Amino acid sequence: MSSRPSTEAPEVSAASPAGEAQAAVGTAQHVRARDLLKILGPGIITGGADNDPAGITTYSVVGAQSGYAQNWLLLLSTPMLIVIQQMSARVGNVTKTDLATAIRTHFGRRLAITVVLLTVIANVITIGADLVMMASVMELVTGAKYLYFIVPFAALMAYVSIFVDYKRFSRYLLWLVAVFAAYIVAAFLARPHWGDVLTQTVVPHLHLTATYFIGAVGLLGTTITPYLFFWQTSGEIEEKRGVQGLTRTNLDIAAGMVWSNITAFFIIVVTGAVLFTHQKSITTAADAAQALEPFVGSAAKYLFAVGIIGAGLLAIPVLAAATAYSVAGLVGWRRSLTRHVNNAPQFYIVLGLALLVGVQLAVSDVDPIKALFYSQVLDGLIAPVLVVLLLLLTSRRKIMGDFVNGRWTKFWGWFAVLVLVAADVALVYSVTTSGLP
Amino acid sequence: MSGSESRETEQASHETLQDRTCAWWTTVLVGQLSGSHPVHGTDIHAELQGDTLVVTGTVPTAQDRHDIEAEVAHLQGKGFTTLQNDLVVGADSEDQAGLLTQTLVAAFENPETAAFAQSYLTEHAHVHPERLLVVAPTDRAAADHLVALLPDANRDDAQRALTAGRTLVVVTVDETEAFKTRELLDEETRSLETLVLPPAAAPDWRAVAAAAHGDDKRGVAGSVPTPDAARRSAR
Repeated sequence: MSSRPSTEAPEVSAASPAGEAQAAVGTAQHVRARDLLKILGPGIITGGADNDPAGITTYSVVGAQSGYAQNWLLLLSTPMLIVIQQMSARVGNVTKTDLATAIRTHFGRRLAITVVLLTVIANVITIGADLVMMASVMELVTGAKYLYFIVPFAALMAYVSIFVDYKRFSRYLLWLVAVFAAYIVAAFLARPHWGDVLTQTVVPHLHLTATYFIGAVGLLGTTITPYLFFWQTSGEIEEKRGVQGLTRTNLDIAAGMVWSNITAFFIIVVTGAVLFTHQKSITTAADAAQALEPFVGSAAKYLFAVGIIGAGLLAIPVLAAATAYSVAGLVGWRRSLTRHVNNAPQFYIVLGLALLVGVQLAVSDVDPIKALFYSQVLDGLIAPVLVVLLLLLTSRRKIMGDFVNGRWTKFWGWFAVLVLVAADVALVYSVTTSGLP
Repeated sequence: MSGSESRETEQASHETLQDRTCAWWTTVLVGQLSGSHPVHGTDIHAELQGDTLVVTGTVPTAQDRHDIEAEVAHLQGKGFTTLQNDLVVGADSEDQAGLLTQTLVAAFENPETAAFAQSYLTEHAHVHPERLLVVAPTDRAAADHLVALLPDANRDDAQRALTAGRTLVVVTVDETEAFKTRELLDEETRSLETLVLPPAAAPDWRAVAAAAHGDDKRGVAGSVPTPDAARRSAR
């Protein structure tokens, strides 16, 4: 038989009876225990990138201000985060394209432009804030002014993102995820009361104070972040993981999100044990590292520095790449980190510009904490909209076929929307009553 | 088509591809590169840096990387002395061909751009369409045929695009090739819009699955069929 494609009557049906594609995939879903490490990819990288320096600062502030009282929120957010990231991945696995293109195709260009534009603004501000955090801990460790470190850090990350191929790039990101173990070490050095930690993690505590609600909004806003949705979908495309690997993808994502929230948990435990107990206030992660020194010695400063810099080296390229994917997807440009810079110039220009504007923000007089607050507000406003779009995309049989959302995914997805909207309402309330920071 | 005719056609197309590949490397060496590599498209990039030919990008397998070296071996000394092969072998997919198919419907401004996309897909070495149709809005019979072929939920979208004067390229590929196909339609041939239908079970997926499962049980090394083997088995 000729290998030429048929141009006459079709022999292959465009659709199969409901459930048959799922059954066919079921035969390829076997994951052997010895392959578990091999499945780690975009999911675990996304989990690591979730805890960027700005996020670490937020967790530190939450721990210092509320102790372990918000740990239950982390526990609650874990299934929400897993479900949202799995939906993002499935959009890529099934439609074979990035999130911005999927939104443009199914919900129209206008909505896609709005969502992408807001995400890009939030991403760029976060890049700026993250760069300041990284440079600040370098100042803490070396004594040299933080401004000297911003450009070298940005240049290093631009080089890695633009000139290193995706395979090596993702391996570099995977190694950095391990850096977060530093916080687990720090938590044990801080000697918290583990009974209190456990109780406040599994039993919800609600304090009707503005500080508590602002902390809760920050915590949720940092955990469920729009750039991660875009990165997850694009990561699946880069890895060319189709629907046959859904079990592997879901395990990878679950591992990544659990690791992300375990890290966040230990950051709160560290700062809760040392700073909340001793009533010390902090505004940056560098403050947290400095404050820890009397209790756990000089090791804490270095542990925090390694954690913050590792987090930044992981998160900033992800933020910049997610920005480039979303803009290129919206416009229809070539978009892939596997492409040579000459083959996808617009994609890499957007990536470079995101870093450049981030540097500009970092070296300007803009207060990084204020910038962080505004980027979180933007993220907080976009996140529920994006989760609704993801839910609509992944619940339509027309788009997903046999790979539509199950009952639990829908439950946790809509529950996440409810929680995110409630957090937004709480944020608006706190701003109207207490004003902007 | 008889077996010998088919072999002759494949031989002819192979020679054409070889000629085109050789011509492409020549344009690289004379510094007049305009198109993309005939097999790997824009996934690879080559440029002369002094006496060194630098090749970068990503290829699907180690064999592809080796093939590139073989392609330029006979040109060594004719414009370059050293080959710097910086090609990276992409992520190894464990997905099995022959289990699922996926249909993509791409809308183009006019029949000419659609025809270009059709030939691009046909000639691309990493895409093997199981069906490839071009439906112009003026061709009522083909349009009706296409609409009947699509699932109920997608008929309106196709009808709407045709009514708007778009020409549609409808391509069905193995699901493992759908990423590449979508990339070619979206990014290389610049479709106005591409609709990807959900993966559907391939006609002979049970046979393919049973063959793979049987091999697994016997513990045969490399038991998962290669895309080509699975494709042959599916047919």
